[in-house]
Amino acid sequence: MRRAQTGDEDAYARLLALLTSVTRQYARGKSGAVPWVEDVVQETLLSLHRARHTYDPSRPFAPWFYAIAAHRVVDVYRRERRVALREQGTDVLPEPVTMRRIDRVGEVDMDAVRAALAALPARQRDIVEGLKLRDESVKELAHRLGMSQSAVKVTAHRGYQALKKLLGVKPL
Amino acid sequence: MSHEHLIASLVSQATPVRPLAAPRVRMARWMVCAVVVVGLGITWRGLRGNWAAAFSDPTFIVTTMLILIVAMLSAWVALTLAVPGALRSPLVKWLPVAGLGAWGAILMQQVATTGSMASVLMSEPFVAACMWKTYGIAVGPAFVIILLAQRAAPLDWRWTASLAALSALAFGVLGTELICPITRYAHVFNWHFLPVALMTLAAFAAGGVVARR
Repeated sequence: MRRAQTGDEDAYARLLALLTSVTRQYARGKSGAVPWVEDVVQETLLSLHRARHTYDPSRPFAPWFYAIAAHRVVDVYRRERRVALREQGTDVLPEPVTMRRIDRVGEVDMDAVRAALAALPARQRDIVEGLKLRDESVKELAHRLGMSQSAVKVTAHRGYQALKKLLGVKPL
Repeated sequence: MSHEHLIASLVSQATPVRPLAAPRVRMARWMVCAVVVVGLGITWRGLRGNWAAAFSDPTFIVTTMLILIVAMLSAWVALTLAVPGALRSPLVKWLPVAGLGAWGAILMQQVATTGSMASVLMSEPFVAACMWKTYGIAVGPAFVIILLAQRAAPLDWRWTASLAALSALAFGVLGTELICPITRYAHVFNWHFLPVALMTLAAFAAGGVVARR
């Protein structure tokens, strides 16, 4: 550690590699074979790195190192407990939202959508079709229509609102 | 990130560092700053007119010495606590709290000699100026000692923050004791002691918030 404080990279790398297994054993000794032992190892190495200027070379290394490791074990334990209290484990993953939307395409009356699109003012229709059907970007549309990107976004938003009204879509 | 990658990343940032000075050295530096601030505060507000009478009162001398001990002890413990593994016994951090408690107990005992404690304390006039004097003197030293603690690597932010605050507040109230001419113990308890105790508790809670982040 003394050599690491002077910037000796080899000594520092050897020390950190050695402390990896020492911390793992220490964390296992404190908390058993829990899945977050490797988190403790990494958090301890990070803390040690941030606190390396506080090590007094005239004093033994172990109390300094184990004080850091002990606190990191407690911190990670508390964090994991908080997560465990707030999150619920499940074997069945919820159906992704995008999948549901794709499934619903079949339920949409495409003739009504086409009619609603045709009823939009020309510029709004061009922008909505460009963004949703022709995969054009806001930047490309702004460049092609000679508008600012914000104006394209505002027009698109108004177009979507008009389409919703024409199709009788209720807000979610 | 794998351990190997983490170690490689940390080693690449391993610039030479200058070991931190010993806590007693850092405390001495901070004490100089705190004494200067207290001196400036007393110079600005003026030494209490009845200082000769105050210094002939044994209770005043004992409580003033106690406050000074609490200030120095809490600063030393806060700065030692900020260095991992430097505090030999966790019980040491209770010593400044015991000192603060002893000060409060002496004041309460003195209040009790003048009548029913609750009624004496409740009937004490509202003199928040003393509280603001204490906080005004303490704010500079508090800022400096928190910076000093942060420059180390505090692991227990609750205790570090509360003891750092207590040390600065004790210096602040020491200044107030030398400025405020009111000799009623109920006043000293309500407007000198309680603001220090409550702000120390607030710093403990704030330290808990910092620790969770």
